[in-house]
Amino acid sequence: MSDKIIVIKNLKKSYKEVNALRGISLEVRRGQIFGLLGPNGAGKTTTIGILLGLLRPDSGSVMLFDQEVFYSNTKQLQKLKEKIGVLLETLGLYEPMTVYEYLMFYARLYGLLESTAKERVCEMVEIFGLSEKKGTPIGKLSKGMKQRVAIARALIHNPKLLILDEPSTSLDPVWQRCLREQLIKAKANGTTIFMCSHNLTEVERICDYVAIMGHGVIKARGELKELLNAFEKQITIEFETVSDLKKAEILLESSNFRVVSKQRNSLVVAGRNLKLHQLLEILYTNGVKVHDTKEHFVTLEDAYWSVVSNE
Amino acid sequence: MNEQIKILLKKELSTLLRNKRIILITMIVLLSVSVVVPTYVFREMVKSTPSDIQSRLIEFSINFYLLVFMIPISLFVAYSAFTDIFYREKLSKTITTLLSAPVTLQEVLLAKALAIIAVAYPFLIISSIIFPIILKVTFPMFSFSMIKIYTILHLVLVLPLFLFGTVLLLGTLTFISKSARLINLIFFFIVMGLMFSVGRLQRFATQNMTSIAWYIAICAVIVTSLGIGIWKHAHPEEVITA
Repeated sequence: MSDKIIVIKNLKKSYKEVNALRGISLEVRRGQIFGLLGPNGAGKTTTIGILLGLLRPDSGSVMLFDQEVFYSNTKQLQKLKEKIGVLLETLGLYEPMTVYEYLMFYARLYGLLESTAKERVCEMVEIFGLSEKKGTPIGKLSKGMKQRVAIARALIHNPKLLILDEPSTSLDPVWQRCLREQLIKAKANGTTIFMCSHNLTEVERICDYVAIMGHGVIKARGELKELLNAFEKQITIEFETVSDLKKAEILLESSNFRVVSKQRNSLVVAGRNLKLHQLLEILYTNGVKVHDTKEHFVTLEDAYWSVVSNE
Repeated sequence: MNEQIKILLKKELSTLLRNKRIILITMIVLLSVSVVVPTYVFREMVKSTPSDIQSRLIEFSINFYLLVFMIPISLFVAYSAFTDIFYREKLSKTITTLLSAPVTLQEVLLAKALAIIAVAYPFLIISSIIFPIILKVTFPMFSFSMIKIYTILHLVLVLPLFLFGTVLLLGTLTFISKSARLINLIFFFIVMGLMFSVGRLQRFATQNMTSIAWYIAICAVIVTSLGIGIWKHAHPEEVITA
């Protein structure tokens, strides 16, 4: 079996006159946590719908576990789905059922034997703090608890691939942390994770690979570090005197550094792979006195904004 | 029956039976109405009707019986089981989530229809037992052999048509695209039409047994072709609002 768990090639999908996907391609490798980001309407949920065989693409191909989703017969597709745990943006819970009944129902649908299902349900309710609510109808739970039930459902059968759409929605910081721990644990057990999220901090903390979507195309992608390096970093330099500032501006511009803003006694320099020691070396060797410096490291939020604001 | 349908059916039944008190009260009311109205009202009407239009009145009374008994049962049980149906968006969400598990849309709809049948069936059996009694009381001129034919037709035709009508109704209420809903609705009315024409058939049956065979054959062909068409047509995309 190949190392690639998900392979999407040139996927296109439109709804009447709206082009939801305009030819996206991506690959997710075994054991990777892949974060798909993008504003509302970027095409993330449509991508998940197609991945699961719920929506038909206009063109392109989707391979899961080396199997073409849209050329699989019903049995092959069912076998494929048994390996996948899913959390959709809309939870779709059966509200009259109790937490225990609901999780047992899904555990059995995913092919767990009755005894294994019972053990697994007990384990899940314990992990997600639902032990005391086991007998409560889902409709009577709070939003956060419903989200935890849905997460437990996705993990109930120890899936080989987890597809999560906004997993931390409605979770308080304690349960967000618990979710992260569970995802990292699942990864350590060999589960590949494909997640869409607006929670950039969460993505930054757990994802190995990130892609940013906008208007149905992938605008930026790469391993997290590599992706962040592709965006401009900024350094603010404060000077002791105005004459130092003027001299520094000329020196830096002549050395091909880009000064993006200037204040009374400070300059902001921007650029890819910008190194503070290089700037200081130029300034010190030319006798410019620097009062203070501040490096602004590129965060995922900066990268996201940069991509989204360029649309 | 495959394992997935069994699991789905068990879940649908447990959801359905949560409303057992309401179901029971409704069924008692329906049974009472379906017994009282034909036996009292129609008997009186037949008495005062000229003999040439009596047979039409009998046919009408049988159809009325089916209308009073079948339609509310199917609608009510469907409502009790799938309250979500009347909130299409909510239904779409639960089915979408369900379809992300190893389950097909066909299995989901079949399990729902079977659950409805499982709950409604005991009442339908009761109706099949009281049906000949009502006929004999309402129309004393009927012989027992005629009543036997009526009852057999009731079981052979009405019940399967009721099952298929329920699946079509579910499709109509579940599907998103207008064309699929319209097709399901048209098919639903065709099946309901077949069901109500059982009354006419039952009248003919007393005169000509060959017509029954033809009628059953036509019903089987129509229902099978509609069934295959819908079964092939049902794709998850039909219930998903992306």
